[in-house]
Amino acid sequence: MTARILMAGIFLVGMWGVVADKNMMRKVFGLTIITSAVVLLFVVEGGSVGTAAPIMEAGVYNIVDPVPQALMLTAIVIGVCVTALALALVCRIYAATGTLDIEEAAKRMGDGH
Amino acid sequence: MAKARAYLETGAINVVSAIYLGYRAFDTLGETIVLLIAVSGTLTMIGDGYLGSKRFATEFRRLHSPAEDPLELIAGKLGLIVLVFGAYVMAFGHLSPGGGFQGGVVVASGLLFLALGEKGFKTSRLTDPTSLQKLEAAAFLILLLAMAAGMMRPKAGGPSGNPAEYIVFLNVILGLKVGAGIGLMCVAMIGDLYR
Amino acid sequence: MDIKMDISILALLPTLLPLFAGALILIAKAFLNEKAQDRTTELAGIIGLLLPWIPMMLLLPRILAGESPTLVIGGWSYGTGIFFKFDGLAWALNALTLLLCAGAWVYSRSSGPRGPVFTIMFLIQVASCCAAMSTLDVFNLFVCMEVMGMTSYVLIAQAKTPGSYVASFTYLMSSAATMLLFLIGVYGLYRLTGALDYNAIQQFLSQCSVEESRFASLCAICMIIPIVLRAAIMPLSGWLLLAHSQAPHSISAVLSGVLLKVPLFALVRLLLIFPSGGTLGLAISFAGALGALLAVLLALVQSDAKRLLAYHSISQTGYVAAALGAAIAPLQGSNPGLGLVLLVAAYLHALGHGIFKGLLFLSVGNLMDVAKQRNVYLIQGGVSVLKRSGDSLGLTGFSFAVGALSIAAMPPFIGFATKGYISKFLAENHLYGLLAAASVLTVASFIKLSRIFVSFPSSSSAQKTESNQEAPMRKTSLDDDHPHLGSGRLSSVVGLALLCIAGGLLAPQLFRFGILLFDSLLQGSPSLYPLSVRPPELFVLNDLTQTALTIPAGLIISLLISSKTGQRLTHGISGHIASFETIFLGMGVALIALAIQI
Repeated sequence: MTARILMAGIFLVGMWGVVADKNMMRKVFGLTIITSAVVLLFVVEGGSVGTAAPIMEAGVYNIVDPVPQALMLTAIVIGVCVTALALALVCRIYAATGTLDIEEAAKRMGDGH
Repeated sequence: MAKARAYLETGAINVVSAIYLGYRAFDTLGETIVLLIAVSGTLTMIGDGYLGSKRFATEFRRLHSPAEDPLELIAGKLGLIVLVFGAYVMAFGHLSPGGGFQGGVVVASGLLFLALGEKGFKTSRLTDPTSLQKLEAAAFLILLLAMAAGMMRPKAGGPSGNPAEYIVFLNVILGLKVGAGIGLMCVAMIGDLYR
Repeated sequence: MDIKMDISILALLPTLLPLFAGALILIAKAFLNEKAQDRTTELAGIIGLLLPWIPMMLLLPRILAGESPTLVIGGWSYGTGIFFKFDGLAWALNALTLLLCAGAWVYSRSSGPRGPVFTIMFLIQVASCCAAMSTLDVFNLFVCMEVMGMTSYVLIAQAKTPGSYVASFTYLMSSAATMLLFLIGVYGLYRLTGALDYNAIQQFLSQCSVEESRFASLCAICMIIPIVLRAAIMPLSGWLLLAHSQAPHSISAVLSGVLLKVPLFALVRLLLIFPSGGTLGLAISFAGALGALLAVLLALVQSDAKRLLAYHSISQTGYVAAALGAAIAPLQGSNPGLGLVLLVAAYLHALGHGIFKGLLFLSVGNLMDVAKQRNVYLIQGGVSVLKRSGDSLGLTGFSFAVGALSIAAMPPFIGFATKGYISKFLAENHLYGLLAAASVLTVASFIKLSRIFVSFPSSSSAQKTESNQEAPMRKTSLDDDHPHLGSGRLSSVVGLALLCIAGGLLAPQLFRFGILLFDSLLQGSPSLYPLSVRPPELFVLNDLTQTALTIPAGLIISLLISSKTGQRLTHGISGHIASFETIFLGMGVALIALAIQI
């Protein structure tokens, strides 16, 4: 139960960063935090069944469900890629408008044209 | 026992590897493509016309190159060790925790260490953006062909499955692709594209 | 038997061929010189956009015979393999993707952006659209949607203007954050059913308890929200305005023609597996119809030409969603025949909208580039401006006229037929009124937009020119340095215009073809419905008078809007830019609305 509450807390913190913060860098951080919350959900909750690591050496049984872990490999990489692209965009927006505030940047975006 | 079958069919003891390079290889292909998009997109965005990185590179160099910076000293020596570890993680992904993506990221951090450790303006072949680009492109083409061949494989009647070499091969190619891609992105982001 | 096995493997080729073409360009970019790169890019375009038609044509006879080639990727017999199904729905959406992307690609070869990175992204996007339509796996759908999204962020930023970076960032943040909601939904479903593929989930849900079914609906909502955001149904459409108005013209065309439609039709597949899918579908249908009306109201007050078109994209996608959402419940059992025709009507309108909206973006883009002006009130005499830039036959003007008449649903163009079908089948539905009002306003909006192509005689536009001189902006009479329009730009708009006309004339045949294609979606007694369903007659007196009545109504509204007082009144509304709060507020509203349904 504690784990679930913590995960929900992390999720909400990230969501708050994405939605309410005007600073684009912090929005990107917020997105990273939400991604970690979701990965935690898969790994912690998915690992609640078995005990051993899913490597089928002799004498190993009662392994945890490997599917959520395999899915999370994909999700983590996708999260990293989205972050990299977002950071590059922030870089360009800052170079073009001279601000990290998203609303300010949206206002100034016509000038550099 | 489905998990025992996973071993028989894919030849990997590590069931996570068996799933993400065997049963769900198509997801993994998609993931590789997302990485490719991120690398090319980031490079076009910070590569052409963003002068900040170039200026940063020269100023950073001027400040730091004469002195023996502890970061450069340690990072340069550590780089090769990290690269060897990355190669291990790639090649033994089917037997132990690890695999192409993890190994690739370790390799990329090794490249980053090397790039940080290069004193002055000297460039080694390993951290040169053009050779990394070539490596990435070649690895992607080979990976795509290998995965397509795996997908188009005529349906085997029995549990013959894939040989273990296939997964090792995929892991290594994937590791090279990921290592080259992320390494390229990191080298570009620290501003060394325009040395 | 063996040969049949081999043929279903062809279903992977529409996905793999564009990817292979992209890899070729990547190789060329790393190893070859610029000239060879350019040639490889052209070759790759042909491989990625034309060759996939061969496997599609080979598979067509089997699909028309009512089969749906299904395979497990990699041929695994156990475990959690990914199922791939190339049925009529996938075929139809793949055809739409390949057709429109080929048009946009030809355009971008002459207008730019045309570099290798652009083409790689473009081809990967085509591949991801094809894969998203065929996959029968919830997690794979997530991966496909992420690939689709990533390519669009990069492609929007290819315009290389500050505005396009802001647009791309806004789209990225809102879409990536909601996609994580999708993952949570996937987790819930996996936890509940222990499976990721549609068939196993459906089997489990058809015999589970009430509580489990409610939990599944909750997961369904988590998965619907991101898809609806991608399809820009009204409360979740804030990102679209920036993205579509700031992207390069060819990308705007693809974004509104293909990338809004593919998620919607992938949603059909997803909704059909949930017992509560019909109810959720009705909610989407309502949101679509309401959005169709609201978006066109907002379109009327815009002054930026591309932003006006972006609002129309929301509105037309709303039409599609209205028909498509209403189709789910009948398809699930109550009346499969009705569901089928609604779905076909939705697809035809999606196809039609893809064609005519692509045409409008490209032709207006041509004019915007030569006139160097985006404000519809300030561009004048477009035809003569274009004539000076190498379009001596007035092809752009002609194509724009075709596109505008199509979107305004005038016979005999494609929009008339497809909108006609949707209104026919939704006639008893309470949403019909919303859609009818929206179509009148669409006419008004396009009468307003058409002014940019004609030049006014001095007497009637005296007042207009006066206001132009007052405005600080540069006037659009350009005598020097206007860009030359390449042949690719003109041939692609003309090609799309011809498709508009052909589609309008062949609408009944298209409808019958669509019924045959989509028939494989119905599990039971397949051959019954195609025979009993025939396309409704559209050229009857009643319909034609209705259409005729929309013209004067639209004319009056457009005169009101573009009068001086109208412009002053609407100026405040049109400058509004969607902020993050509004986008996520929309998400909250959508969540609550859907949660009430179950």
